[in-house]
Amino acid sequence: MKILICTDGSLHAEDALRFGGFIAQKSQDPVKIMGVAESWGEEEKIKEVLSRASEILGEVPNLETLVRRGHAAEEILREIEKGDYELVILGARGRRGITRFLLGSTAARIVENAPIPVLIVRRGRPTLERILICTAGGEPSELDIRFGGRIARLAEAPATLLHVMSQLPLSARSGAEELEASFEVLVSQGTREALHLQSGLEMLKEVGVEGEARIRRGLVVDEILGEAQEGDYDLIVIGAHQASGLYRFLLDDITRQVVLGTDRPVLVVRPKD
Amino acid sequence: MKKIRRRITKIIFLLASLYLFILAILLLKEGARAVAPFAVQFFRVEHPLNALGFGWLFSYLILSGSPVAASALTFFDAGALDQIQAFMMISGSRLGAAFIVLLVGFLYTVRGHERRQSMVMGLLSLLVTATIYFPGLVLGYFLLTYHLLDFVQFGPGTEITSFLEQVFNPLLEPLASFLPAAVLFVMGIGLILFSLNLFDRSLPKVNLQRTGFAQAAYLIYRPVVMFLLGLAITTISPSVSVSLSILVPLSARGYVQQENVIPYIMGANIATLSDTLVVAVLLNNPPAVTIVVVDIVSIGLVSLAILLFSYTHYKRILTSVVNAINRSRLYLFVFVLVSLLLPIALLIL
Repeated sequence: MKILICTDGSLHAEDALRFGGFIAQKSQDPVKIMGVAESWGEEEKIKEVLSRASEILGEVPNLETLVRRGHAAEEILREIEKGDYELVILGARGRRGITRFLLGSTAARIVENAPIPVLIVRRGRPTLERILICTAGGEPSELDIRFGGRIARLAEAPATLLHVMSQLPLSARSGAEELEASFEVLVSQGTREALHLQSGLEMLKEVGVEGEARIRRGLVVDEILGEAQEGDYDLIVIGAHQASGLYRFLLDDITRQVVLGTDRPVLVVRPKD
Repeated sequence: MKKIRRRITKIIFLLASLYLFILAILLLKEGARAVAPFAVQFFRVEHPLNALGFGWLFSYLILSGSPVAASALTFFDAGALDQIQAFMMISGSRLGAAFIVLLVGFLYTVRGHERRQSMVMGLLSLLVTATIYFPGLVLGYFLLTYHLLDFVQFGPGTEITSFLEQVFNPLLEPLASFLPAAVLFVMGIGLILFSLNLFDRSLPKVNLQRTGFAQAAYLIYRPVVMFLLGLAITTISPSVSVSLSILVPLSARGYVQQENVIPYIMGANIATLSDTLVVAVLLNNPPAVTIVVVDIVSIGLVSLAILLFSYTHYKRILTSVVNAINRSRLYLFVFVLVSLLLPIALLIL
C-alpha cells in the first residue's frame, strides 16, 4: 500500500504525519510526503516543513519527499493521478483560515475528487485502538469493510461494523417489525441487513480482525456520529459518495456530512477505477 | 383484456370523481348561503383565532381537511367570513387533517398494534404541519392585511362558467328547490369526501415487493428533491394521508428513508391546497383565489426557508421530539390531549 501524506506544516498536518507514520511503520509500505508551495518564495519554507515531517514520521522504509508549486488541492490530485498510491492522508484543516470552522478547502476537494481512499486526520486522536466501519450494503460496502479491515489489522485494533436502519416505521401495516429488532434477532430471522453484517464479519475474520456488528435506527448521519461518540472510536471508515449524473443532484452526500460532523479521523474509501 | 377493463374503470372513476367534485362545490355554495351565517353565529366565530379553531375542529368532526377548506371558501363567498377568517379556517383545516394521520396511528395502537410504528408517521405529520403553519399564519395574515398578493386573482372564465351551468344546473336547480340548504351543505361535504376517494382510486397503485436492499440502502435524497416529490405526488392525489401511504412500499424496498419524510410532508402540505385552489376558481370568486394563493405562498416560503437555511437542526429537533413523545405514554397522552383541546380553546377565546 503506497501512501501519500500531504503536509503544510499545520498542527493538523503534523497529526496526519503521525497517523500515517504509524500505518507505514506497521505495514512497511513506501511513503511519499508532499508539500505544495502556493506562492512565490514559499519553496524553502515547504522544504523545511518536509524536513520536519521526515523527523515526525520516524523510521519508515522508502521515504520520499516532494515539493510542488501551485494550488494545493490541484497539485495533490495531480500527484494522486500520476503515482500508484493506495491511500492519501492529510489533516482536516490547513493553515488557511477561510473554512477553518469545518473542513479545510483542500481536504474537502481531495475527499470529493480523489480516486483512491482518503484519510482525514483530526487533532486529539493519537492512538488507533477502536475502528468503526460504516456499512450500507452491496458491493461498494464490501470494499469499505475490506479496506477498513486492512487498517484494523495493521493497528491490531478491533473493528465494529455499523449499519443504520433508516427505513420508515410508517404504519403498523407496513410489516416492519424488524425495524425494532436487535442484531441477534435479525440474525435469527435471516434478514438482509443481518446477512450483510454477518458476511462483513466473515471478511474481517479472514484478515484476522476481531469484529462485532451493531445496528442502530434513526437518521443515518446522526446515528453514525452518535455511535462514534458513544463508542469513543479513533477512526470512522465510510464509503465515498458515488452518485454520478442525475443522481448527483438527487442524492444527499452522507459521507460529506459525516466528515464535516465528526471530531474524529475519517477514512473515506473509494474504489480505484 | 383485464388490463383494458381496469383502465376503463379507472377512467370512469376519474371522470365521475371530477363531475361529483364540481357538483359538491356547487351544492356547498348553494347550501352555505343559509348555513354559513347560522354556523358562524352559533359557534361565535368572531375573530381570526376563532376561525382557526373552527376549521381545526370541523376537520376533526368529519375526519378530513379538504371539505372544511372548501366550506371556508363558500362561507367567505356567502359573506359570513372575511378574507382573514377564511384564511385562518383553511389553515385550521390543514392542522386538523394532519391530526387525523396521528389518530389513525392511535387507533391502530388501541387495536393492539405496536405503538412506535403506528405513531411515528402521525406525530411527524402533525408536528411538521404545526411548525410550518404557525409561522405561515403570521406571514399569511401580513400578506392579506397589506393586500400584497391581491393582484393574484383569476376565475374560470365565462365560457367554462356557462359550460358548468349547462352541465350542472339541470341537476342542481331541482335539488336546490326541493331540499333545505342544510341538507345541500351536508350533501356537498359528503360528495367532496366521496369524489376525492374516487379520484384516489382512479390513480395507479404503487405496489413494490420487499427486495433491493443491496442497491437501495444508500438512497437518501436531498431534502429539496423529496420536497418536490411530495409536492408533485400530492398535487396528483390531494389527500396528504393517501400521499404519505405511497411511501410505505417505497420505504419497505429501501428507496425512502426516515430522512426523506419531513421534506416530503412539507411539499405535501402545500400541494394539498391544490383542490382548495380549484374550489376557489370554481366559486368564481377572485378574492377567494387570493386567500388560497396566500396560504400556498406563506406555507411555501416558511418551508423553503427551513429547507434552505436550517433543515439539519429542524430535522434533528423534530425527530427528537417525536422519539420523546413516542417513548412515553404520558407524553403521548398529553400531546393528543393538547391537540384536542387547543382548537377548542381557540374557538372559545
